[in-house]
Amino acid sequence: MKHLRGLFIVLYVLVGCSPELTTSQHQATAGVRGCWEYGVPQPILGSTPNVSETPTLEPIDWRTPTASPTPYNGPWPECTPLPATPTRTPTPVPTRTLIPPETPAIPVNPPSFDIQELGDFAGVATNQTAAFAPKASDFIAAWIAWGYGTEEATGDVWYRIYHRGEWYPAKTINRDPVRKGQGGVAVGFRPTDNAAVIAWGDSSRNIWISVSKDVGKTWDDYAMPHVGTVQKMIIDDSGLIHLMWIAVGGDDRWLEYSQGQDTTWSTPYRFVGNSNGWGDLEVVQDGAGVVRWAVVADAGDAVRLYRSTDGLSWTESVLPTHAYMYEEARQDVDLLVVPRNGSWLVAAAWGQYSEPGLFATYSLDGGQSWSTEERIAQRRPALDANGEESTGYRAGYKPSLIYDRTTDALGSIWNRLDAQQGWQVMFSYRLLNPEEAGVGMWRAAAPPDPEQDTSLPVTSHGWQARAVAAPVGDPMLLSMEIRNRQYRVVVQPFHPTPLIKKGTS
Amino acid sequence: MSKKKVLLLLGTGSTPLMCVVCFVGMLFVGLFMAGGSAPQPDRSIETGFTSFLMPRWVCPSPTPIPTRIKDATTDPTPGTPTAIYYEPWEQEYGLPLMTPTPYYKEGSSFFTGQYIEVARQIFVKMTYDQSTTVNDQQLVLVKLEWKNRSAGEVSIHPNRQVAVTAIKGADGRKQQGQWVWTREAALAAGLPINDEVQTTIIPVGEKVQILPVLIPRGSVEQVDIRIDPPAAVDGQSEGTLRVQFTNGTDPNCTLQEGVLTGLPNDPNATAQSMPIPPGTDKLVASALKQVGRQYCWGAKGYQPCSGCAGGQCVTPPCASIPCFDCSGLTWWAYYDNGITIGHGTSNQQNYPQVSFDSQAEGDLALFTTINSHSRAGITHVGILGDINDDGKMDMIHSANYPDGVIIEMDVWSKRYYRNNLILITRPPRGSGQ
Repeated sequence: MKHLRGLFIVLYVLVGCSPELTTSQHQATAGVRGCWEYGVPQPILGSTPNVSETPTLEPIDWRTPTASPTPYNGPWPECTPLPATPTRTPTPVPTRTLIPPETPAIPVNPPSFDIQELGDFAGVATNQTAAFAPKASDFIAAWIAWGYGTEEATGDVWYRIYHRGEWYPAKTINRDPVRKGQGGVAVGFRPTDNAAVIAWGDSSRNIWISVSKDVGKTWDDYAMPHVGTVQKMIIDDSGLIHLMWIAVGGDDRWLEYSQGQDTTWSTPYRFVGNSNGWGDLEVVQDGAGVVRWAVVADAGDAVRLYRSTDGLSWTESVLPTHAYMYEEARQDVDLLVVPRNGSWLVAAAWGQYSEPGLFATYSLDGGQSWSTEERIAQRRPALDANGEESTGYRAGYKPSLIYDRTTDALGSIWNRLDAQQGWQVMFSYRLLNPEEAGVGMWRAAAPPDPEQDTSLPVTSHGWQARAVAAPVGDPMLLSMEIRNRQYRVVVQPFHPTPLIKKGTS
Repeated sequence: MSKKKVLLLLGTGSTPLMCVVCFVGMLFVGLFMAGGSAPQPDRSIETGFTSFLMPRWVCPSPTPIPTRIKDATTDPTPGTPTAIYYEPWEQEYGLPLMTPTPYYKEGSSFFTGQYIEVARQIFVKMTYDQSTTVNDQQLVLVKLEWKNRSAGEVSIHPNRQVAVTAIKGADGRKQQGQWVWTREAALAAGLPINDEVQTTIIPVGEKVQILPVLIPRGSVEQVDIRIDPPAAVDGQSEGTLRVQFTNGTDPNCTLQEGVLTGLPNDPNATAQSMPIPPGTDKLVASALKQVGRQYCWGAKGYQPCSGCAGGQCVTPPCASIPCFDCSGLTWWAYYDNGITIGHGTSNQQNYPQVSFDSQAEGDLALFTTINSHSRAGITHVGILGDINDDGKMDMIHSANYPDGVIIEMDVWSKRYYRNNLILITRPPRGSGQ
């Protein structure tokens, strides 16, 4: 026993005296072992080297060259410590100070188009999503339309690209019909080459990453090694794709995350046990690197916030809720992370499944402290579908958060149900300046009608709309509207500042 | 000389030739008479086509088709239930159930080869031929067969109002666009270039028109006729009405062309075709009569349903009447028997509860559509009955669009329904029940 203890001491000293391995040495070790050393942070897959650093020249090996396999740089699963090996405390996720970009000077001219119909469909158009190109004046929108063919439960994933002042035709990314509610769709542009990227799923929930460098004329399709319904995609400055999707198992659903590109992806990270599939993802670049944020509504009544600096390990916190309602399933969760006053504004909003309502909470210090739960809108139609007194039914307000820098206001596009007027697109906001803000002061952007408890919709176009954030300037609204029993997909600029300046509570 | 249409008659009633069917056939007679009165100025000649109704297609076939029985199996990949449809001969119980043919389909999307009433008493059948290739393009000959049974001639501007609006390219992907008549297309087709493409007069009677269109290499996916209604035809909004034609066939109709008839709007015109087994509970029998009907949110039978009732637009509008949402079907089952219960799961969950072991025919089974531990509330309801008398409870329910009213045989053998069942209620059935 004494000898064994001595051996441990020697091993400990040896380990403790060994110089730290370099990243490439760790990668080489992981390549041999098939896993990443326990407790050592992995580099972010696909991250771009810091060009400001002096490049290090590697010594050249003049031996006879051998065929080398395509290097795989991870991410690797973490090695399990051997039994009886003193376990090292896993390196905690560094809680570094968030450093917003000092000057968000992005060389971009936002697309300048007015209201534009992108397509029309006799069936049902859903899942609308869109994105700006961060470094060019391009824009892409996508949606799923189904129910207009012989097989009513199938349809297509459509997209349309705006490039250099011209709208290119609406096209499908799929070749075979997709089934209602299966695959999902998300879009973006790769900043490194301005390629358009569409993440979408087929009828078997296989996820595809389609990349086009010629404005949608041709596409390279990559099969992602994971299965699910695409929920959100963000591409960071290095071209790394961050993807959130809904994984399904039996009757349960989870939100999962992976990062990668083409066919190489990290091991999925599964958020809270059962989420019913409501969540959102944001990825921001601060002064030190890429930070991933996720918000997930679990199957109970909590809204959980996640943060990660490497995409592999995440910290979780439960947001303050229950100020107004409880024991109701949250849904339609939306997340916003934007720089504000030298820190980060982090905000989350959600609707509720059973009793209509739209709520939000926000942080002005990068998620370290949070506001109380605030009520954006909460109402119950006087009459239900049958003209009877409403007792509450599914509302689905679908909030979409924006930040208006001019007025320093947090805003929410949301979709209201009215017993007489159907869906309407609304806008509410709250000022963030403490001198003006008050507590829980969400205001309607247009004066409410005291007689009917209604306020004016912010657009005459749009059955349901989502705000699409722009790299600079005002966002776009991507709407679905029903006209003559056809679903028309419409995009239009949205200017919150004048609505806020004129708005009253 | 003008022509005046005198009569368009729609009759409804049971067809005597079909012993197993209670489907209400449609008897229609069109009678044209030449008249001597002076024609009234037709505004549509100046302004193009004018429509005052939502386009519709009427299936005349009185023969019910076998019901596609829906069941669920587990998809091994995602592990989720996937709908499958049994063919009649695969059914393990009784005679094949029968589905009524739709009375009519109303909307803006139809199939080629169907006579669509695009304006009151004005019908058009669209077909196209795309077999000719011209250089790098495909020549499409759009054929419009008009039958004008209205009181006067109307006009259409084919080069403006008819367009190929979606194609499938060589890469297998679809593309939307606007491909219309061109001079080059007419030359390629060997058709005369005349003013008819600017304004075509459709006289009372019939007219056939061929419209040549050049599209990129590929195949046609959709052709539109754009109509300029003076106001919204759906009562909700304004805008050009685009009647869209795609290739395909209606799965529930044996005569795809349809018939030229008006709207069968008899509210008492039930379209039942289900053979109701003797001794079936009367509430269950009423629900069985509606198998095959469309789901429409907010619908409970013979009232028009837009899918947006009550301010919520969650499904397409009802394409044929009757149509139902889930609680609308259960409401109808009772209403058809002189019993009025509340509509909506929020009302139907409030009736006296019965235990699972005490369930009986006519009881209402209420479910949550999110998993059972999410506390998401009750969102679905069906009516229970032992249809094939095997001692196992079945359920008739109006499932979400596009499934419609369907039967779940031995409903508690299916994990989805078993897990999501919240409670069973028994509305009062009146004295003696």
